[in-house]
Amino acid sequence: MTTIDKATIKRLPTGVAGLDEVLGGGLPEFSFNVIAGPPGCGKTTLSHQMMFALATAERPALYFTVLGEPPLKMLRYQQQFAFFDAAKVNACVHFVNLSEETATGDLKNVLARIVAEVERHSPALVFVDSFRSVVLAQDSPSSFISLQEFVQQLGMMMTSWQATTFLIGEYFTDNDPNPVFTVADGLVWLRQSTQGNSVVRKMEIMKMRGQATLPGLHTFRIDGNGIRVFAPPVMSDNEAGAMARPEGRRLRMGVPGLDEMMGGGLPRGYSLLVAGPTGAGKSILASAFLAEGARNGESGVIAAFEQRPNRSRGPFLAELIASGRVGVIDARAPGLSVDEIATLLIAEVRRLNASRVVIDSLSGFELALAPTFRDNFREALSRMVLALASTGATVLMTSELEDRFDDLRFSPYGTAFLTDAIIVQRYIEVDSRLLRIMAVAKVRDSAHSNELRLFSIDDKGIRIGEMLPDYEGLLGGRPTQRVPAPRSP
Amino acid sequence: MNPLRSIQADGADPRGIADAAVAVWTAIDGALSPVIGARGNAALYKRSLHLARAQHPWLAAAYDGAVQPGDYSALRAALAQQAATDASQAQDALLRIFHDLLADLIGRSLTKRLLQAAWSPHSYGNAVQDDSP
Repeated sequence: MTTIDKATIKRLPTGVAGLDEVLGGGLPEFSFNVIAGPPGCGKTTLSHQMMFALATAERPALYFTVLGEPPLKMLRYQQQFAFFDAAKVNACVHFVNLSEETATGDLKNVLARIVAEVERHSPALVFVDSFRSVVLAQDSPSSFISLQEFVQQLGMMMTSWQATTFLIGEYFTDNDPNPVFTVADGLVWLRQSTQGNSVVRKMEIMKMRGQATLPGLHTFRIDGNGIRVFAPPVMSDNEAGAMARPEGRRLRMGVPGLDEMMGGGLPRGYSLLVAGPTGAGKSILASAFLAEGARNGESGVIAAFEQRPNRSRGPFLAELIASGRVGVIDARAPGLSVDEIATLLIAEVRRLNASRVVIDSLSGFELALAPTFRDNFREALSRMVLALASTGATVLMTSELEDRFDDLRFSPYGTAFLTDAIIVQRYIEVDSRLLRIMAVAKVRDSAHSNELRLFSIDDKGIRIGEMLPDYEGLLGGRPTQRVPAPRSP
Repeated sequence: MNPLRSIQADGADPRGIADAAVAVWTAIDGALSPVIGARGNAALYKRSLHLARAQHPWLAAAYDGAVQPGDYSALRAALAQQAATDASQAQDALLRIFHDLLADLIGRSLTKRLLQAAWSPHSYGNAVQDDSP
């Protein structure tokens, strides 16, 4: 049998950012879906957003409202979203209120009205909001068919009418084997997870017949444009090609002398970790990295997690941002997830065709995350770094390093292993002065300097100085002068 | 037919005004009830009567008589008992209040969109025609 004999399932783009990826390529046409979740989790918004995106004159939509939320209020609030197109109402989007039929307590009446409206409008999309009211109606003694029969008949009818259908329901619980779930082709579960004072919205595709969905809980956000889902960053096959790093091409760091220490600059597509104590100059190094790119006509993206991003950026970086050469990821929203930042970063990298990405800093990043995501920070970060690398961009991450002089550690997250290069900065005490030293600890597959070099920061940025050959124990923070050695004249 | 236009032109006979008014309300009911529910529409209508009776106290009878959604017989009776000018002014005020209430709730654009079906049930989906003089 050839594949031509198989039924082709068309996948509809939902119009909800990130949802098509999570669904595994879009919404299967003619599927019978349940959108479930507690009140206020975004079910009605999700439904409206998909409906307004999908409805056309050739593909009209029917939206049945059943008791629950008064339709007037629903229309009042839903039209606040950018996707709500009043011109589509009564043209290709038809709202139908079923409260009279539901009030009779007989699901047969509800079904009959749905059938009548479907025959009248021949919709390609049907929504029933909310199903909870239908469920309540079945408890009425005057009902002649059971909920199960109702759902089965509805499902059968909609499939033969070639309508993609959504039942929007409250009050379902995961552990209640509701008959609706068996009949449904797709089951989208929305939740709000609370930890401490932080509330995060999450979506799970618990079932979607005929296609591979992205498993797991995916965070989403609701703003004026509607719902945006943050799927975990993935590498597409053609992007993986970017992983094959073109040899020879290295990026200059923008700090005189540092390129030589790194064996000629940072190889393109690498991820670099700059680790050091507070105030050592990590952010300045990151700014220099972006500024150097801008000088060469490259654009960059920065996700800054500092408390006062505008002040700490410095005038030169602020200018690059103002001129649009460097894109900024707004990392101040509450309840952030790594996937969200990754999605925003990758979108911005694509938009600007950026070659340089800065994340400043991982410590601030972790603090900005909703508590519920902190446990998985390492895994999620590793996914993000890989996905960023697959875009071909070169990534510089800074990491706040507690000055611990008894050991040499690069990051508290064990992130050092997933970066291709590491620069470490330290404070040392010499002659009653606090000096800074810097060293290149790692550049994968490349020769690099092993020198510990003094450096200073002035108006022009970072200046790399000499080594301190006469001292030892620099990494311990309190170097000692070596026994006087005979000096050459 | 544009219900928001004064129906005074329809004739000086209060009974004729009452019939024309009820025809308008029935058309609005037909356009809105499927979308916002018969009860939703009835609640808006009743609230409009309540607000309009501040200017036209005799509308109280229509208010008290508005019990069943879609039943405008009390309004018809109340209008028919008034002088033609009073009746048409009250109906105009009632419609304006109803329209403004709906527009406050769901915005002017959607209100226009939904009520369009009341004046021209066959023009679903076409651009709104401005048939005012």
